Amino acid sequence: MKIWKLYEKSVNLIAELMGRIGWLLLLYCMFFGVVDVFLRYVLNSPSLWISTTVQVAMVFMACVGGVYAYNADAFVKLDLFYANFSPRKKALCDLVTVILTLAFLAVVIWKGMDAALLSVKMNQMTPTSVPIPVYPMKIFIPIAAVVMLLVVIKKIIQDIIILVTEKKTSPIHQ
Amino acid sequence: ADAAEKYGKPDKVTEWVFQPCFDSSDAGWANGVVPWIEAVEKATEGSIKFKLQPSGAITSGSEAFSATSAGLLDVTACWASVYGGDMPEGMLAFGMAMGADNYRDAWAAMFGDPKYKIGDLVQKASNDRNLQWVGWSSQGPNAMFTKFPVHKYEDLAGKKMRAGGPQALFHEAVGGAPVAMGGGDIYTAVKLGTVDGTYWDTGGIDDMAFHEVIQYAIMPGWCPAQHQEIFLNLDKWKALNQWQRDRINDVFMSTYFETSRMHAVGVKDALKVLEKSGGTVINMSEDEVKRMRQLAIEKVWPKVAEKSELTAEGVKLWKEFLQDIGEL
Amino acid sequence: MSIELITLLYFVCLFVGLFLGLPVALGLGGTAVIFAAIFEPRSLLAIPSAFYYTPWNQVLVTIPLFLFMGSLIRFSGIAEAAYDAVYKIVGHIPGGLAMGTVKVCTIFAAITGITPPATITMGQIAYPSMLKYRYRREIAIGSIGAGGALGALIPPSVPFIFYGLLAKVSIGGLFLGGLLPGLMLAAFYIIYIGIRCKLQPSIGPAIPEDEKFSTRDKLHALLGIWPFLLLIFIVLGAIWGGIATPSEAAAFGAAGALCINIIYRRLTWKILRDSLETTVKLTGMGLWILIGANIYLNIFNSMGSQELVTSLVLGMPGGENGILIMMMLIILLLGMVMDDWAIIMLCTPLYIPIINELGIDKLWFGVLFIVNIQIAYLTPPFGFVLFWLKSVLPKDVSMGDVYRSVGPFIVLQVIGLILIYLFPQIATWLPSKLN
Ligand code: NA
Ligand code: NA
Repeated sequence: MKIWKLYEKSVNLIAELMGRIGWLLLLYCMFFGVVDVFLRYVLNSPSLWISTTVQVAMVFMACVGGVYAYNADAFVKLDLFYANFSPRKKALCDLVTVILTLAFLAVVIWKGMDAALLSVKMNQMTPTSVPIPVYPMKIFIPIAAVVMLLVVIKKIIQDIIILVTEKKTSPIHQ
Repeated sequence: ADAAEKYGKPDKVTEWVFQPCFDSSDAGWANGVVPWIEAVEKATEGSIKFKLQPSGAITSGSEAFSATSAGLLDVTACWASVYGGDMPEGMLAFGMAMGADNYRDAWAAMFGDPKYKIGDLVQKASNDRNLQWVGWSSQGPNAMFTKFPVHKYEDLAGKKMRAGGPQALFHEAVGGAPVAMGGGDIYTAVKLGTVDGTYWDTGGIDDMAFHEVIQYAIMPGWCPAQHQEIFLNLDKWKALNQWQRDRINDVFMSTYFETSRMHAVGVKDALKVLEKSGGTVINMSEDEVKRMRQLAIEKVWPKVAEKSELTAEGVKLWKEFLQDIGEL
Repeated sequence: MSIELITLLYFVCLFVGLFLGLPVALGLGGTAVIFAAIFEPRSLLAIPSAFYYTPWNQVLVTIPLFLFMGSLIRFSGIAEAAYDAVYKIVGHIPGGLAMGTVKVCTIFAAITGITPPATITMGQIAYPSMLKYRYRREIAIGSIGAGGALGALIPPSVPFIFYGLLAKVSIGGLFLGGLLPGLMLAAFYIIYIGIRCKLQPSIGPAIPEDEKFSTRDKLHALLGIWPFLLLIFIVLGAIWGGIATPSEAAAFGAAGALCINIIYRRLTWKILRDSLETTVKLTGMGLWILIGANIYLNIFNSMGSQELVTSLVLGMPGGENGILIMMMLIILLLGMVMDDWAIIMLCTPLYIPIINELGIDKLWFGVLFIVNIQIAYLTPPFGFVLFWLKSVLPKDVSMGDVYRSVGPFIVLQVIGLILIYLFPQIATWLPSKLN
């Protein structure tokens, strides 16, 4: 149980850290979006790198924001039936459907590593006038998927604990 | 093991997935990709078949080049302005800023004249990336489409133009203010005055409905002969027999001239559409083109040359070629 | 296994997963991965790729920026103050706040080229205020959902640009073509809300007789809306004044909201933190859905399912009308699981040759197409507006509540679609007048 608490805490910490990175990326997009217009409209000397780096920020934001959101249960579900399930039934459904999630993340990690290696090997750059390396993004994608996987494992364990500790559906739980 | 394999049409039919970095609305679809596919299918007597998919079907256009290298796609068609970050040598094939004046000259420098053979450098770079360069097509001028007249390059100074990658380098060199934005935003941005115009491939301006919002087409633009390349995954190339490889090599040149002519017609038509809707085509004088070429070679070409040893060699050869034919 | 069966299973697997409570993004991605592994293993390479190319799309930066703008003015209470003011002005009309919400959504639609920004911003701002004035949940959610969907129909519109490029139709013409149908739908929503609340005042109650405000109060209230109007002015002005692209204008909106908060002396560390947290979470969630939808499409194509679409359309009996109806049904079905650009990219090249063959006006068809996508976004069980809406509303709002709320508005959309179908002039009159 002690190890489990430690694991839960660490995962929350990593997710929170990723979220904070997301905050900075968001502020970056806002600040430089305005600066870009200022440079172009007021000074008539547009930057050649702002819009590309905003795109880069968005790729990173997708990675960190996904982990942050999933850890906080902010991923939207179609809880038409699910919302009325008992905690036990919910946990059971989660444990069945998590197979799809695991398959998905496994492929993002496995094929994502291939894509990252290829990107490094090709020395992939953006085709923009100020070239920006692509491989940091490609490397970060499987890393984010690994962290996501840690969150998924946390939820699996939580579901198992519910299954073990919760009594069979009794009216009290409704 | 296949020492006894006959030289000729194999029994097995090979099927390839072909996804360009653009969709069917681009001039490169009907005037570049489709004729090449038909030529290959005919030349290989039906032993190679294609499944042609638009950009975004299997993966996005920006990923099509590396996806072909990795084997997710078998074949792709793309511009170096899109894949140049993956293979800068592609810029030698795409067309240098104010480089070859027309597709015949471009062919001579790349393949025709044994003195230059710049194409070999591009093929080597492709092979290094697990690709075989199998098709080429000139799409005519990549030009400026503006709301203001341009007769000398100084007229572009201070003007906000939508320009990506190599276009932005050129626009900066002439003293303009290049603006980056997605293809889908250009129409509205020009209309509302967010930018004063855009660089674009001439044959495609009517597809993008730019004639509705701009006033002038400035010929021959910043790249008088812009090209598009077709790449095949190298493993798929090696899996063919020699006869099939020879047949594909055979159609390289014939489809180049066939599709380049088709594009030239498309360019004329697009400019007619522009004129019909009240626009004006400005052809820059020969002297002005020479001045612009000088400027491009001084300021833009070194940026291509610095990318790799092969691009440095290619840029040197391009310079020699233009000198030899008297355009410098 | 036949392609028909594979495609059917592909949809069924997703439906089952989602109804068992699997998050939408993971259901889309997971289903695609399983099918790719079985039927077309090499297409697995496309999956990490989508994590790169989806967020790389420049227009998507408008999502976090408008979210941030909405969060800031909501958490600081500025939005509530503005709605209080609006309530003083139009509160005597039953359903006045909901009608006002549709109007603000219509203005928002003229700012953005895509659907999510209006939905998420208004979902954050308008919903709590309407509930505060005892509006019934269904009218609050319905007006936001339907109003938000207008983003793609009223120009500027990214879907129209994509369609115009693929179908080779004037984009300016399409923009004009979408304007009247967009305003028509907005009018439908407003009229419906007005009538419904008049008949059933409990849904959107008016101010009680004894609480009515004087003209003086109303004029004073107008002052309370100024930050709101200023924001709209900043964003709209930046775009329509040719100063900024839509993505940059969204940055203006967010920065503007931050400045207004500072001027109002409302900005606290907590408000900033809550706004950042909400925005990054919702953005991460939303981008994962878009990534999942792109992956779902990529694998759909890799398996060759798009050929099925063509054969379904051409196999439809009933001549021209039959084919058109089948085309619309397919858009409606795909609209459940794919983003608008993906449907347009998939269907337009398949449909346009048939449309040309039949001699149908491509501009008119384009407007029908986009109206249809709007409907697809709102119809249960799946739709992008539904996803966004659900994610910004409080946790106690279930998907069932959202479904019930959008129902009447879908009926109005369908009526609009039928009207445009029967009277093509609604779409074609304005473009023909101005070209
Ligand atoms: Na819009
Ligand atoms: Na739907």
